[in-house]
Amino acid sequence: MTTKIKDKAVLQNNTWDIQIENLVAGYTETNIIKSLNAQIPAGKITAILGGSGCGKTTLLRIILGLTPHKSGKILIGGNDIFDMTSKQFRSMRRRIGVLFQDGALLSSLTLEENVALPLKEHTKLSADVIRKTVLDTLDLVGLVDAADYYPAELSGGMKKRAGLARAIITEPPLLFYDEPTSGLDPITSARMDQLLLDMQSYYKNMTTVLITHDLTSVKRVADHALLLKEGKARYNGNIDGFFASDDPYILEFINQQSRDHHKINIAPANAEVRAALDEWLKS
Amino acid sequence: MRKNIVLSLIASILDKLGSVAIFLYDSIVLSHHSKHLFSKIFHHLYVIGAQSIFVILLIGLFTGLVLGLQAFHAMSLFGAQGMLGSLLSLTLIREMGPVLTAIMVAARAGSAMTAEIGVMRISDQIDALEVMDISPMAYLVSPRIWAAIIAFPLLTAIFNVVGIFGGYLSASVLLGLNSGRYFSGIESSVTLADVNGSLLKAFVFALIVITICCYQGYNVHTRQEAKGPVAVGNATTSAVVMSCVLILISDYILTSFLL
Ligand SMILES: Nc1ncnc2c1ncn2[C@@H]1O[C@H](COP(=O)(O)OP(=O)(O)OP(=O)(O)O)[C@@H](O)[C@H]1O
Ligand SMILES: [Mg+2]
Repeated sequence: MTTKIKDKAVLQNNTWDIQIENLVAGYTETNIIKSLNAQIPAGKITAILGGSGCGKTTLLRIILGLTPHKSGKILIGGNDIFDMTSKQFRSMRRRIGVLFQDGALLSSLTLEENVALPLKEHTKLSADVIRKTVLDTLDLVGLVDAADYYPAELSGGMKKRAGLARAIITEPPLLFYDEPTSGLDPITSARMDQLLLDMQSYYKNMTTVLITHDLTSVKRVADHALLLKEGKARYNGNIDGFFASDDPYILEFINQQSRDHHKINIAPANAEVRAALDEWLKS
Repeated sequence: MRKNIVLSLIASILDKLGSVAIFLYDSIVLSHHSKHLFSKIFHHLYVIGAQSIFVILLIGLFTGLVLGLQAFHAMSLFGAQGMLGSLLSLTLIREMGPVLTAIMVAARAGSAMTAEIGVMRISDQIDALEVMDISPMAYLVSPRIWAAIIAFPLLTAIFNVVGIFGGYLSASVLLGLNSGRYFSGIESSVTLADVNGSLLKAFVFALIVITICCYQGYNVHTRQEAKGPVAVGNATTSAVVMSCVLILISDYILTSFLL
């Protein structure tokens, strides 16, 4: 039974845990998320893991109200987000920071303007204060020198770090990162992980959800894990339990190997294709 | 059977027009959510208005030139060259000015708008705005609509003036019509009502063009026939085509009320 939200005070609670109950969702008739039950504890860093295309980003989009679901519940801080009025939902979403998978920086703004956007649109702070905050935040992610660049002039990893800066500038109590370290070199990704840890220890109640494939970074930062497989939670619990698990799929995942290696035939199987390619290469 | 198809076609057209109208309504109503609305309007005023001036000057001049040429020859048949000024100015002010301006701006600024907003949609930028609690309608669409409401009548006025000048060039300077007769024709036939009608048309076309162009870009992800960049391309094409068709249809309707 969910409590009906009567006023904004409920939303300002300081427990930002997420409970997912029997969630079903998909873009077409086939469901991508099939009756998912999971818990993401408040004040911790939770890693959402799973194979590519298993629905991690989709789950994030449903929580953010960007993609519709079919049935089930998602409770954030005890309130069902599908029960909220759009005003209540928006007021809750204000407290969520998101790093999208490919940054989603506005292409018409420079990096500095992008990171400044939430402050500029929602506060009456003076331009100087905003600029200083933005440069400080950019410094955290190592991008001060690129402040005047447009997103099209940044590398993939730089876009990601800029997206991170934009997500954390409002200091939200609930943070989602969609693959923050993919495409980053080991040193920068270690630095990103350290940033997450520092923020976590600075903002005690912050709940961080990390979608990732990067087990090194999971080991470094995560307290809790949610492993998705075929639209369901294969594992949902403490990170130590995850790495100690004897579930064969988890073992495969941890040891980064595929069990069902059927022999892969690398050369074009078809002699006709090979002949045609030869002809092209010789021409 | 045939009747059913026709009915469902009409229904789908009405459905589409209805959602475009709701889109326009939302963008106007949500304007007050847009922080720094005036600086955004100024920016788009520059893009829609200032950057279109050159092409409007060019099109206006040549429209006037060719109209002057045609009308001079046609009216010489009846020895009625003295009417040329009235004919040309009324044609320009009542019809050609607003319609051609709107079509040119749709092709120039409107298509770019659709592409820009469409790309923002397919690369999650609009979702990111929404998650940051910045209304994408208020941020992207409202300032463009207001800017267009200001820019279209001004561009139309420029078109009209340049067109009349073009008519003077071809009829008086090139073909030797007495310039006094040309301008007195204009003075005696053009009334304030004609100018107001011209500006009213420009206002209506502004709403049509910008709403359609933003709508197509904003909803690019809902297109059935394609996804991604191809959908953005298709949306741009249909934005321009739809704008032009609706400009001409609404021009007919407006004219029948104004005459
Ligand atoms: N807009 C969409 N329309 C239709 N299907 C989609 C759409 N977005 C994603 N899908 C499908 O949903 C499934 C899950 O996609 P999703 O992006 O959630 O995967 P993911 O777990 O985030 O993968 P990755 O780790 O590669 O980012 C995929 O099979 C994909 O084909
Ligand atoms: Mg993903």
